[in-house]
Amino acid sequence: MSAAQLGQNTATAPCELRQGRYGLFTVRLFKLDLYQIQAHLADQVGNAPGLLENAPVVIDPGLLEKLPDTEQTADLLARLRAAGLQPLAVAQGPDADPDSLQQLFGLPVIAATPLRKSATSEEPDAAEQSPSQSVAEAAEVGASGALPVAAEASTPPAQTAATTDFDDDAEHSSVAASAPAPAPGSLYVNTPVRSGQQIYAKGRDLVITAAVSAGAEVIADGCIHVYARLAGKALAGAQGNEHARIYALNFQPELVSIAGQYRLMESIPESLRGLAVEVVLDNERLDLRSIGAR
Amino acid sequence: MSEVIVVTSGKGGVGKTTSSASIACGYARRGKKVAVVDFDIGLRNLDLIMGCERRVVYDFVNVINGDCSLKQALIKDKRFDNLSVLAASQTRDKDALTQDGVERVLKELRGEFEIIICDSPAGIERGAHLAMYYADRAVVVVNPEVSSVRDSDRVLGLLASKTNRAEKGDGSIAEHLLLTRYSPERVSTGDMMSVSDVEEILGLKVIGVIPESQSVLAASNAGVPVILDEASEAGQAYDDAVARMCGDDRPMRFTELKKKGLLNRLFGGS
Repeated sequence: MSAAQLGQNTATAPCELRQGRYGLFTVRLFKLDLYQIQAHLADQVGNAPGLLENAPVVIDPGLLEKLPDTEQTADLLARLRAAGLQPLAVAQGPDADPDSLQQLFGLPVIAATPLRKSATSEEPDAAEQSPSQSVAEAAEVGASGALPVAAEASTPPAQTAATTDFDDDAEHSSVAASAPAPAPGSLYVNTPVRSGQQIYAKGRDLVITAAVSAGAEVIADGCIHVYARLAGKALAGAQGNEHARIYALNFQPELVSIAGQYRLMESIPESLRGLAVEVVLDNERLDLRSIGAR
Repeated sequence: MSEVIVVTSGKGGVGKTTSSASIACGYARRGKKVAVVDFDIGLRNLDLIMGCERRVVYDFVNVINGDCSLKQALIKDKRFDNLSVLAASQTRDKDALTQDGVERVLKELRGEFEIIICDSPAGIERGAHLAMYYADRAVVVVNPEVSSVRDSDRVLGLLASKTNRAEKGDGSIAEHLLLTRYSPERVSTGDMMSVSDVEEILGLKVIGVIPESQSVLAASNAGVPVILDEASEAGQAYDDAVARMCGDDRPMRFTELKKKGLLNRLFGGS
C-alpha cells in the first residue's frame, strides 16, 4: 500500500504517517483512538521496517478536536514507541500554545507548517523582505538536514498564520533571497553506491553515473539522476520538495519516494523493469513513466 | 615493495580460506616471499587447509599480546621455503585483535615478506574489518547465488570506505572478484547465476572463476591447497587467477559447458 493511498483513506484511519520536511516523518492524528493509532502505525512500520523502524517522528495533534490530557499523552507516547517509532517533537498548530504543548508532551515544539509567503517574498529580492522573515528563513536553512532543533524561539508571528499547503516555489525563491551565495551545484557521484551505503545530497540534486546496488540508499533534497542501474532505494525531495523527480537509466529500485510519497518494488509495474524511467509526484501520487528510446 | 592482500566475502562458506591458501601457494610458486595470516580468531581453519595444524605453537593473538616474537609464531611451509603461515588462536575471540596490534604485526610482516595474504573471517564485524583495514588489494570471493552477491556488494562498499587507504585518501584498494563453486551445467539449466550476471550486478570483472569440484574438498581434507593439484580444474583455475593478479593475460577456462564428444554422444557417457 503506498503512502498516497493511505492519504486517501484517512477517513477511516485514526492517524496518518507522512514524510515531510528534513526527511522526518510526521504522525498526523485525526482521532484520539489510542489503540487504533498503535495498530495502524505498527502495521505501517511492519510494511517498511527498513524505512520506518526507529524512525524519529513529529507528532502533529493539530487536527484533533481537543488535545489529549496528561494521561492520554503519556499513553500515546508509549504506544508510538511500542509501534517502533521515536517521538522527537510535537508540531505546533495555528492556534495552539507552544508552552502548554511542550508541558503536555515533554517534547520540543516545532512549527507545524512553514512560513506563509507574502506575495513580495516570491520575488527574489531580499530588500523587499521584512527583516524578521529573513532571519527566520536563515535559521531554517541552517537547520536543514540536521535533526530539527526546537524552532519556537525563531518562530515569527507570521508563522502561526501558516496554511496547510505550502508553496514550494515560494520557499525556494525566498531561500535564495536570504542566502546570497548561489545554491550549490549537484552532488556528483562517479563510483558505485553499494549495498549498505547511503548518500545524501543536502539541499541539492544528486547525479550518479555508476550503479546503485540493492540495499543502498540515495537521498536528495532535490532530484535524483542515476545514469546506470538503480536497484536500491531512491528518495528525492527528502525535505518535502514535491517538484523533485527521479530519473534512472535502468530502473529496478527497491523503493522510490518523492516528498514522502513512496512506492515499493512490488507495486512497481514489471513492464518498467530495466527501462529508463522518470518518477514524478503528481497530485500526491507517484507517476512512473518510461522515457527515451526503447 | 610489499603488498597486503585481503581475501574476504561477507558471507561464510564461500571459499575464503581455500582461496587464501591457494593464492598464497600460487604466489610462492612464482618465487615471491609470502605470509598468509588467519584472521578468523576462534575458528582457526587456515592451518588445516595448509596442512600445518600440528606445528602451531604460537598464534596471531600471542604475537599481538607480545607473548612471543613474530618469528616464533610464523610456521614455514614444508613445500615452499618462501611461504609462512600465521595461525589464528582457537581459544580466543575476535576482540583479542586490536587495531594497533594488527597494524604492528602487518608492519613487521611487510618488512619480511613481499606478499601478505589476510584470510578474513565471515561477516563485517571486528575481525573482518581489521583484516581489510590495512589492505592494498582485496580479493572478494563470491558464489554464484544472490545472497553471496549481495554480501559481496556490501563488502565492496566497505572496502571503498572503511579502510585505511580510503580514510587517508591514499588511492583506492584494488578490488578483484573471484567467483568460486561455479557450475556451468547448473548455469545452463538456469539454476545458477552466470559469470556475466554476477559481473553485471557487482559492476566488476572477475579475476578468476573456480569450478565446483570434488578435488577442492579432497585437497582441503588432505591439507594440500587445491592449487597444487595440477590435474584438477579448480587447481588450474586458481593458478590462472593468481597469474592474472600478477598481471598476466590468460583466457577464462572452465566457464563454458563442456561439449560432449562424438563417442560420448554415441554411448551416452558423461
